[in-house]
Amino acid sequence: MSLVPQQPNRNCIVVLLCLHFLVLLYTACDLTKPEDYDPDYTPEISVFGMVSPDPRFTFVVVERTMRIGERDYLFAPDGTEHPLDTIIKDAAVKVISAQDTVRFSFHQDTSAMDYWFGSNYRQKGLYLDLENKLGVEPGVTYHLLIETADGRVVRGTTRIPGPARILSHADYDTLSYRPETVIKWQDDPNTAAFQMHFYKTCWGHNWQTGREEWIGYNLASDYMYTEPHAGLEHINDWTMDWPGNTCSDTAAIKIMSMDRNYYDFIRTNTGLAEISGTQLELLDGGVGVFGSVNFYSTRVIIESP
Amino acid sequence: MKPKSLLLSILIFSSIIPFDVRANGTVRGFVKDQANGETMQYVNVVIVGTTLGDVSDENGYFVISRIPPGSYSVKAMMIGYETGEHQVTIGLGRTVAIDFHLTESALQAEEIVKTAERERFERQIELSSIQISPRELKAAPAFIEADLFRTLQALPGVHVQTDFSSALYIRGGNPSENLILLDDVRIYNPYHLGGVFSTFNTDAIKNVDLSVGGFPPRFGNATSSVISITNRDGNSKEFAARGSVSLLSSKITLESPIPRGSALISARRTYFDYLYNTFIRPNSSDKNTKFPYYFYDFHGKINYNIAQNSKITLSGFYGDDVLHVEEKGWEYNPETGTSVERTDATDIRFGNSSTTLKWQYIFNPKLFSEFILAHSRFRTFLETTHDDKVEAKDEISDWTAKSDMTWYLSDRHEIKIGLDAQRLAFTMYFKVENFEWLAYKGDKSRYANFFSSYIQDDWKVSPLFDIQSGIRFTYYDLGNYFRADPRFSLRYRAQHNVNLKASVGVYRQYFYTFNPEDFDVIRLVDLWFPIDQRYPPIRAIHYIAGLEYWLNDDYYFSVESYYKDYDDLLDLNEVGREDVEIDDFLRGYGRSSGIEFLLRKQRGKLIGWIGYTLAFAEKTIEKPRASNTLGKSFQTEYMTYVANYDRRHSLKMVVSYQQSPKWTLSSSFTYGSGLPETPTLGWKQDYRLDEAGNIYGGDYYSKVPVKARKNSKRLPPYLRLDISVQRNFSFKNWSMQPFLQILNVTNHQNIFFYDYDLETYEYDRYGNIVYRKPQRKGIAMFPILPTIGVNFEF
Repeated sequence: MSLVPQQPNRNCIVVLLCLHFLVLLYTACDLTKPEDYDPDYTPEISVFGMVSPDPRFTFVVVERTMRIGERDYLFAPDGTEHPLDTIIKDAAVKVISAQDTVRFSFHQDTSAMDYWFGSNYRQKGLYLDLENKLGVEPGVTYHLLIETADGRVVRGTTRIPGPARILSHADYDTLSYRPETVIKWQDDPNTAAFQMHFYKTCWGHNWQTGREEWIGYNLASDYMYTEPHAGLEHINDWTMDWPGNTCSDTAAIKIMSMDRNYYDFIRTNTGLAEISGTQLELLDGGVGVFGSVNFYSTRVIIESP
Repeated sequence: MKPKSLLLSILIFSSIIPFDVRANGTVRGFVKDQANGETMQYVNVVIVGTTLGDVSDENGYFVISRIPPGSYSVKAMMIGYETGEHQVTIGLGRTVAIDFHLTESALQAEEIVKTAERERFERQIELSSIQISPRELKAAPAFIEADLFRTLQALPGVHVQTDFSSALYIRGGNPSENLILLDDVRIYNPYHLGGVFSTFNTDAIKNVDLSVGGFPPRFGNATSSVISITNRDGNSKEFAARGSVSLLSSKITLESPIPRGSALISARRTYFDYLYNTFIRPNSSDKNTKFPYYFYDFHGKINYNIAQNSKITLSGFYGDDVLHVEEKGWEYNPETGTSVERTDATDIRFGNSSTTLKWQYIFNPKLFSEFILAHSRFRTFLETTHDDKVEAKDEISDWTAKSDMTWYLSDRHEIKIGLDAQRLAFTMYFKVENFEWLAYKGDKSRYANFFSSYIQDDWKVSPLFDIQSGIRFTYYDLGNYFRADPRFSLRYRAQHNVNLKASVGVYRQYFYTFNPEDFDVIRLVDLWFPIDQRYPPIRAIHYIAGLEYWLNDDYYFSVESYYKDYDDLLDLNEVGREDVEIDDFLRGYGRSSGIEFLLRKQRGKLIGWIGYTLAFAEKTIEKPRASNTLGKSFQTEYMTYVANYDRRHSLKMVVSYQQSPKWTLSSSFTYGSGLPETPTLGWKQDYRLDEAGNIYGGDYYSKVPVKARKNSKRLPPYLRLDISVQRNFSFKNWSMQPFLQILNVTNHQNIFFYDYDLETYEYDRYGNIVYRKPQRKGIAMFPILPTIGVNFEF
């Protein structure tokens, strides 16, 4: 009887087959079944605070971030209401200038009008300068200090931008409807960016008040943020959508100048950053922003096209 | 001169001067394959009866000097080939030129012959270098058809992020840090179909050298690795053809002798568009829709031997991915009052091209030189014919002139010297109607000039000890940077089958792709940017130590540990201000480290390898700066996170078993621990001031996610087993090999990413709201996927 020589590679194949078998066992579970998702997360303090020479823009929203799965909104799709656990009503909110410290008080407005367009921030509550003590000045630095009942502290700082005085057009100048029309305004060292709005007033139904009245339509440059210290050019080199023949011949040009914090806040909450979650740290101890804005507006006569 | 200095000078001088130069002779020549005339590297050439010998280099060239006068037998030996033999007579100071033409042999010669890997072990000083043979390239199961990068990713230290991308992450470096050379010319984006396939046609490849770190000074402008691909010269003996048909593409390679040389052309094209448009579309409900995508590539090479010591090669590589989408509609003509049919089209093309003219010249037996003129380009181009015509282009283009010389100074010194001049053009713009966005401060293109030189000495200090030392100088005019990068490697032959190696070197990179890491999972194209005066070139220092051990003539084992220290890393600043140029990128530093084990078998019926890698890759990048800190003195804050390609553990195995000349079975197995991800942890409200001066936000619809710390969580482990079986049918003048491959045999659900369904309600079938917990679901990559195809050769 002759011996059949042992194949040297046979052992390797056996090992390979055993390994494959183990792999088969390992892969018995199906990982793509949906699974409940409840991450371990401690909410942070979220702040949206603004100060401005215009007292309507002086307020601070203080709340906490939500956990995944929390339902924090007034109107669920079925119309039911839910409690607003995230509002922080008992914080000490102070705005400190070089001269004075003003304490803001919590204010919750439940007027129905503010529900419109889903903009229910007043329902949630704001901290306001109810006594209107804080008269802010352009070029002055202000500090925000928030202390919550559980001991957390949030700080922020802003310097008030100056108003963007329009140089190219005085009140009731005629604005020609030509592509080369340029609007220029005065630069300001404390302004990081400007936002220009171009309104025409038309007679129509105001859905907020339920009455027929003159309504401002933003006809151009909505959501257009200019880079700092640059003039807006060619604002009407695109066809305007005239709302109708009951509009007035006058229009308003309103320019918002914003400080660096607010500019950073709005420019980094869009695009890549919004998807990736990359955020600038604009507050110490919390998320959000403490910024400032200023406004300048003028009225012009529109030359008919 | 002091006595110590004098002694040192004498020692150094004596080490580089060949002994007894005048009295001895030299044998030099090339080793080629008898079947097709291709040059062969790592062939052992010896003078019988002496200890003299050499191993052919990447050009198939060998030179043996210091041969005492006399008659000798010179043999060239390579596993799988019959031994070649020449009788030579060496005279005083004479040089004898001989070429070997080795014949492939089914039977193994009795004498001891070595694999190319064993020759590399004995010759090569550098660490971290692996050569992949065409057999291994084709043996490993791949996605639909053999693919170079799919094979490379099965090696330790080499990773890909997904099944859908063959972009290689090597030892903690991202894909743009790899220097990918095709016939000595850089290819910038070697992928098809957004990275699913590499652009290299395996039928045209002669060999592939992968260096995953510690590479020598002759390679520059890369901080991670070198993948050097050499295409075949073409059959200089007779006409030959080979090809294959797979579910993806058809490819054909033709090669032929030409007067005093050879030529090769190889072409590949996907054909699903033809199949769909010809057979499926006429019978489908949507007869207007054409299948919009295909890719092709073309390799060509012509070799012409001017003289025995002079050869000129012209080679080219061209490939494109083409996406052509047509949209039919009606356009109203107000003058005629009628509507006419109109077709609008969107065209996207991205692809590489390279053209190389290479002249190899042997000045004398000890001075081998190469001169190269080349152009390489990668571009992405988009154009639409809609009303708002869109045109966008991104391109990197280089013109290169370089020379490399190898001076076989003595048996103890092999010196390489090189000069390289490059002019690079980076183009990026986007046009819509009258609007034009130009990436480079009002210009469509930015130009950079790049000059470098190197010197490298392979010094055999003693029979057991080798040192490779060298330095690379670079001048880059865009930032006016001049840098010197020293590199050292040493090898100690502890035993005849054990090498101990170590290496340290400085590596820099002057252009880079800034694909944001958060969006790098799907890598469609690479957008290359040049480093300029704002940021120093990216720098990496490699520290590597390793051991190589031949267990016996078949089995090779290696273990290597590495540490890479990165500085001047750049990340795209996702929240950078567009108007502040210095805010485009975030600077930082990083480190990667790891240990790799490899057991490899290269000959016999069963070939393959098993590798395990433990790796760490970490980045420390400055935090994005708020506007009020720009342009001011500011204490930079940093954040440290693991890179999104940090695969901590990976186990890989590739096995090919040739059961008989007819049947070949192959298998590839990969296990990898999970890659990092950044999940959503919670919500926050997004407030704004609207144009009328109101606050908006704060409601259900304006909430935005709060993300976890970057890359702080991990996906589940990756596991995949592929198998293939191939049957060889041989006929009189041709052969064919049908094959069946099954990817992901176990249908393991490898998670590509998590899809988070964070809504807390859903509607039941009656339209009522039902509240529930948020959920996540893993989106899996390749399921079990069988493919078939056939290779043929005649």
